[in-house]
Amino acid sequence: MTYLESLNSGLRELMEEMPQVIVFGEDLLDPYGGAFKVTRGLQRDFPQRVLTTPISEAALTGIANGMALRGLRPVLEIMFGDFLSLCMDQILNHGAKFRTMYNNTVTVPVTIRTPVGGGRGYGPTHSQCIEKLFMGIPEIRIVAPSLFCDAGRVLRHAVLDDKFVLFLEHKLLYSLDLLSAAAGLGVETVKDELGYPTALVRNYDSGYPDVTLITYGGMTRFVVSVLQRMAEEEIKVLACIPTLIKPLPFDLLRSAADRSGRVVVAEEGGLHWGWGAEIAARMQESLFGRLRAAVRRVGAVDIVIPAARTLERAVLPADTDIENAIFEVLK
Amino acid sequence: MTRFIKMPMVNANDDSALLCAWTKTDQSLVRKGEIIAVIETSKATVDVESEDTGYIHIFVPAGTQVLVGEIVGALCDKPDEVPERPLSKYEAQEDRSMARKVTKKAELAVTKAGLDMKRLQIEIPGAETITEADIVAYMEQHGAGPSITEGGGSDLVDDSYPRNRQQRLLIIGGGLGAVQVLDSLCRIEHQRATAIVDDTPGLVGKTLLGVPILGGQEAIEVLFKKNLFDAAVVSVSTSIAFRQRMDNMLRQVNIPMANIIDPSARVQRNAVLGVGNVILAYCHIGACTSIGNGNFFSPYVDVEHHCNVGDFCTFGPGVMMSSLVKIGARVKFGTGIFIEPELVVGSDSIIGSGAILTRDIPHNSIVKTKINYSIRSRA
Repeated sequence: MTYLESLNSGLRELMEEMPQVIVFGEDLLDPYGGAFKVTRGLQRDFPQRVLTTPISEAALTGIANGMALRGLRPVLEIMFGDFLSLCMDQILNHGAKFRTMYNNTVTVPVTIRTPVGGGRGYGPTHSQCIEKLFMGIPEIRIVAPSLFCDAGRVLRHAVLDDKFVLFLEHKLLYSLDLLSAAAGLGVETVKDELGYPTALVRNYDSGYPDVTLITYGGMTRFVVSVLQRMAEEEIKVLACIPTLIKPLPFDLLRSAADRSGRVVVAEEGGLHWGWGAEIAARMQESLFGRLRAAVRRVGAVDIVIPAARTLERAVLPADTDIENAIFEVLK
Repeated sequence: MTRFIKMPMVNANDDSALLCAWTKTDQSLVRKGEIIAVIETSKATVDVESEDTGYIHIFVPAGTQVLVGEIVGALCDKPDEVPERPLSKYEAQEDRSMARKVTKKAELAVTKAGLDMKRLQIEIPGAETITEADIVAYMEQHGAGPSITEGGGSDLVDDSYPRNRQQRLLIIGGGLGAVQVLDSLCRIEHQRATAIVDDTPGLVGKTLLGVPILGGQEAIEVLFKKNLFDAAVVSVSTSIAFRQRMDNMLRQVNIPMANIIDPSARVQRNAVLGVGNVILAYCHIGACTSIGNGNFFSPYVDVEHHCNVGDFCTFGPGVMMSSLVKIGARVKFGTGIFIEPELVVGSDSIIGSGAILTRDIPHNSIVKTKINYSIRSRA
């Protein structure tokens, strides 16, 4: 089953079971079924609960907040993650704050689904991973399913979550098959305390890893090839892949890091001021003296993402960047 | 001039396209703007026009899925010209050198041990891939780091263990010297103390800085056979005779000895150390200096470059020697001593605190310094 199929059937199941689930966003109606076809077939079967909307992301997010306050479970699709900037005020000053400002008398169970990431030559405003701009917002959750979990089930968990959830789908994952097993790799899934899965993928049978790789979302498309190549180089790698990326299931990450003492954090967003920086800081707070090397980050070059494919490749992080970082922490 | 024909990028979503058909025959004349091929992307079938006029040479047959940007043919000026087809991206990658593969883990082991990769390529027999195990086996066979410390002493213990393991140490002697050694070990990453032995009655069962005292001298061999430690070090600074006796004993039963080097000490280029040395904080062992076995260096000892120190010497804090000094065996230094360049200090000598050595000291000497000062009450 592909990532896309998993999301589509996850949404369908939710709509079948819960009349409170309303799916809306731009161009969702059949036969088009959304820019990336995640909602394909849903409008045909649930015509009253799949709504297509004008191009007005701020209003849509406000509407989602309102729906959630009145007991619905809105699932809003923002066509490209880059447009989340238009939703910012409704997320930061409204959705994230209502529960506290109304003294726990309300919840805001909004799920915003959105495709993120580059690699398709879509240029500066349709290729970004801007989740780091939202990571500092209290109360909200940011969820990014990888290939190593059932994306549809994670979406279900996000919709049933009473918190405001940003749900990030990397566009390059849509067509890929979910990976519950891969040649020569051990895959194990554990749930964090909020019920979101974290996958632990390793390229060795016994002993301790040499390096712990922490990554999420779109970067997980590199995990299999990187781990297989590292096995050829006799380097044992434990990949720790949370789906809940904010707040962090840090206990899981820390114990994975502690097993090797060498940590590489990889994300597709710009290298600086990001997820990797937060993890690196918390690793040194909790494992100072136990780390064998400085935590190494992998991320995009902090510039506008070019449209030309060759230039885009030079800017966005890829498997070789992860491999080089692994070699670096082993030096 | 040969002009290559590349698979065009028609759809931003596709990395490759199907070359459906060539509409011109091989080596026929093609004019600029004429349709030469039909390709199919995931969205549409597209005609490809010739960008120039010339005789067409077809490299890739119709029906092939081709990466965008790959060369599929060429245009030449003459019909009988045979263009050389460049390697495709894939072929170029396949054609990597035939040299033996060395795994990254093996490469790191080689770098760490300071070995010469070229030499290993020749000297390690057999398989196509050189693994970490091959390097470890090679080092066990040849001693650690033969390329850089050939002929010199080396601490064999450290390199024969897996890299993620700390060398476990037995500390011989549980007195004040042991406290100094354990204190340094707190800051040393690759070693840790697992046990202490001391002959003083009543100490067994107690701990020193958290490390248990498990017995007297008689326990050393037993503990080693139980695999409780990898190497031993003598922490007794005061008794040179004891250190020498222990060294003999450990050698007889083949127990390896370790060096303890505080991380704040500097051991410079090409300095060669024996085993069983304790080098405490802020010591400086200069370039190309050679140190024997079983010496005890208190903090702030400076053995300058090209010096030579024998075995079982004890240095009090702040012994400063200039370059090219030769120290014999079993010499005991007090505190705060200066030694001029190129001097020789004979074995079994005792140099009192505060001495400034300006000439050679024969064997078995005692150097005493008279320092005149008076002490009066302030009252």
